[in-house]
Amino acid sequence: MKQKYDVVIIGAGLQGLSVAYNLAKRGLTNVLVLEKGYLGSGASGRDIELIRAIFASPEWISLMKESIRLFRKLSSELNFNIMYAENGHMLLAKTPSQVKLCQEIHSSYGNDSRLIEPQEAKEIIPALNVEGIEGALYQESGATALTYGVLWGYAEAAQRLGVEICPFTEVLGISVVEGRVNSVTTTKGTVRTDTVVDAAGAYSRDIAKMVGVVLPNEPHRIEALVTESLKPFFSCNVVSLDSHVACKQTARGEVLGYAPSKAEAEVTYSTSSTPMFLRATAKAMLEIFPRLRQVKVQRQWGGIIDMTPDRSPTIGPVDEIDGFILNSGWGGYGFMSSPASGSILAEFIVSGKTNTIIESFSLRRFAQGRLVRDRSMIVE
Amino acid sequence: MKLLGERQFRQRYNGARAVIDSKDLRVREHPYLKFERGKKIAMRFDGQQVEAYENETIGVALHASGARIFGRSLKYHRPRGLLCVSGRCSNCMLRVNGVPNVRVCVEPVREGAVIESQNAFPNVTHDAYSLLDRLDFMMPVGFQYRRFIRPKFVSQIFENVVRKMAGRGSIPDEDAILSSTYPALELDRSVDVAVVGGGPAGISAAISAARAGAKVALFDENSHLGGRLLKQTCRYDDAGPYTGLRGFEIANRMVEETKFLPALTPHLGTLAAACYEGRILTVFRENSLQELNPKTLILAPGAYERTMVFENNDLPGILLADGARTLMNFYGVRPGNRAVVASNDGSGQALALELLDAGMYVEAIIESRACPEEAVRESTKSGTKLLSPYVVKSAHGNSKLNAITAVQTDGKGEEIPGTEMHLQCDTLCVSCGTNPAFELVSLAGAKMEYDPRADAFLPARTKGLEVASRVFVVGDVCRTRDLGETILEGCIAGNSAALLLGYGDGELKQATDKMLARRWEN
Repeated sequence: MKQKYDVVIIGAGLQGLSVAYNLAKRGLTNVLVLEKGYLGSGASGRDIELIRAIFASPEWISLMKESIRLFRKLSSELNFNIMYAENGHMLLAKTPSQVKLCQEIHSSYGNDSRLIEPQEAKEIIPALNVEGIEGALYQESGATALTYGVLWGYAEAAQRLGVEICPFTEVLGISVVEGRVNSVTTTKGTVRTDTVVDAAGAYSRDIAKMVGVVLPNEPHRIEALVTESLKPFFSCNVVSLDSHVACKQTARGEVLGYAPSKAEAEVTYSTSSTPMFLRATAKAMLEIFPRLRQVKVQRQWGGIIDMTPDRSPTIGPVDEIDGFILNSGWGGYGFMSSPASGSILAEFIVSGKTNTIIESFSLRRFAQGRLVRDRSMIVE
Repeated sequence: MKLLGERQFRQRYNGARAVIDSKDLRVREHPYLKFERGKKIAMRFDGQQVEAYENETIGVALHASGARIFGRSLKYHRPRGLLCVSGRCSNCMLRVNGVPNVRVCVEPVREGAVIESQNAFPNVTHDAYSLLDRLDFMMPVGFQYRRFIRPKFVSQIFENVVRKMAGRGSIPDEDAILSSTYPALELDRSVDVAVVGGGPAGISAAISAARAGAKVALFDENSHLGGRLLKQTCRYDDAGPYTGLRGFEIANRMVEETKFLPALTPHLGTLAAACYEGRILTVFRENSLQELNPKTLILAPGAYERTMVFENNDLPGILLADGARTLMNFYGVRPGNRAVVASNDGSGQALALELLDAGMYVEAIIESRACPEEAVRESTKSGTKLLSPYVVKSAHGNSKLNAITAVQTDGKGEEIPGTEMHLQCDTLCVSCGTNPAFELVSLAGAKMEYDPRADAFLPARTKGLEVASRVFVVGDVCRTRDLGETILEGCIAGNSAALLLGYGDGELKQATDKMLARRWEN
């Protein structure tokens, strides 16, 4: 570690590393990334890698459109195969109100989404149980990628450009002088800096507290499971608006599954698995894929997400402290948004000019009552 | 385990024995064991009729019928045969009655079962994809996702191909279901003591707790209790109260004792799948997963055998020592006709003797440790050479083992060039120690710590054998020194669990304290 950095990023997850890479790409290479554990040791290494743009709010749609645009060229840009594949994303609707929501999303997203009948859904995924399904929304460019591929790709590319990454280094405090960030104290010493990016995931509220900023974010545990590997039998992501189960088959053939369970309500830093989740998810997965009945679950795991009251992130500068920039509150959507958020925040740090996405997701929105509620969000 | 007396070895198997080349691999005569095979059953494997017996598993019956290739490796489609014969490796996964990825080495036979190859074209014995294995000169670091990313059109073709090649079995058939071989699982959800693992440690824990008066549920994923001990025919000189008996005799006696305890319910064919916060144990039998919340938990999951590292160590015909024992001592099916034994822990001769008992010809015993010179000299007079200090350098054979190359070492692990020996064999049994089955123990809250005495990472326990409140861990998973210590640990845990719940009296407490003192002396 050097004495002084232009920017110190706290958290080497997808969000932190994306900001680091995007800063370096824009010429700001005197950057330090601090990480308490190993790279991607938080929620980044634990998500189920869904990428979609069919959201219900204009804010999320524009963010995710930008993300997909960046994802498309990320492998060659980072010189790292992130296994990005546009296999499609399907939302299943069971009730008339869910069908109506699909129509709303379709009309506000436009682009390459289309409303499909249950029969067509069955043609796309022959193993799908369409009993009780009223309709579906399908996004051709819904995609998946390898989360660790993206993470390591960003880390390697950033380091090549001169960014310093310090894993196993915990931040102990941040000093503020005359309303501006002055230095960061870590377990490996103190560094001078004017700008700090808080990308600490579920711990971002603890980091913010160090400079006296109170975030409304709460840590919640969400879990996922994966089955033994099977020959590919479906390629697109499937999400049910009814049970909120999300499934996809990985490139290795395992079927990933997530469905909400009671265990999510608790505010906790624990990542241990729960039997409630296993039961809820197995049941919900069997409802859409009854043929998985004899398939074994290989493992389940938990991760902590940083959740805001309206499930939308808190990004950008804060009013109280100069040079303290948030990149937090991503909930379960940090992976799919990381290329866009990193690029937007890096642009802001370099040029100082804010834009509409940063404005709409700012911390200020809670005080001003401008919540971003997106009805397509899986988490209830 | 001690080296058998060389004299005893020679007396029994003096002089070279003829190699039997018998197609019938079922053992009909054995010095100590009797095999009850049950009635005949017919199954089909890739369209071929296979004969089996009621008490066998699918894998064992297929092996006895001459099948050697049970699967193909995921990437290079290398042939894979039986290895662990305990449902612990991924070598023998086949499609049974429309259900994919069934580990046939532990799956009971069923009348009329339809068994099919998976992940191979047209079948596992002749797999066109195995060509990939011949192309490895093109891919020095292996066949993985970071390759073939440039130019872009290559990456797209490659990705399409690779995505289709992923996975093992296909999704189950619409109506696929494996018929039940066990009665439905009935559980007392708030049992006093749940014991996981039906080996010597688990059984002795269950017996001790039940004797003290606690209600005990004993879980084992196999169709029988006794663990690995049930498959040993050597005598134990370190088995506490059972000293002098053969392994399977000890196991049978212990299992017999469980039958006279009404408070002890064994649940066979029941896998303890996971342990969650708050001592919640999920158990799985056939098609049902259930949760229970025992007042105390005793974990005795045992250990997995390790494989040996040498060129082509995955060829069908190479078996782990206990895998071979399961085949020949439990199911009465010889692994092959002509064997070589390789060991690095001095257990080679004992295993060779068991193979000879089962009617195999043993070409040589390869010990990586230096054995007494006399033993090596004497062995040249018998039919079975003892090569020491030697190691296996490579295995040969196209799709199954037909020979190995052994090489002498200088005793420090360095091979001595020019000492290579070519040995013909269709079976190689490797014995090189075990790894603790730590999964459930970790889930129950144990930390794995480096233990210098065992030179391994073992669960960190209190002096009272607990890893967390009311969770005891005993037996081979903690690498006990000998069978006596394994059984002793089981007793201690069983007694302590019962005492914690208010069963037993001062006398039991005193006895347990004494046992604990004995466990930790030196």
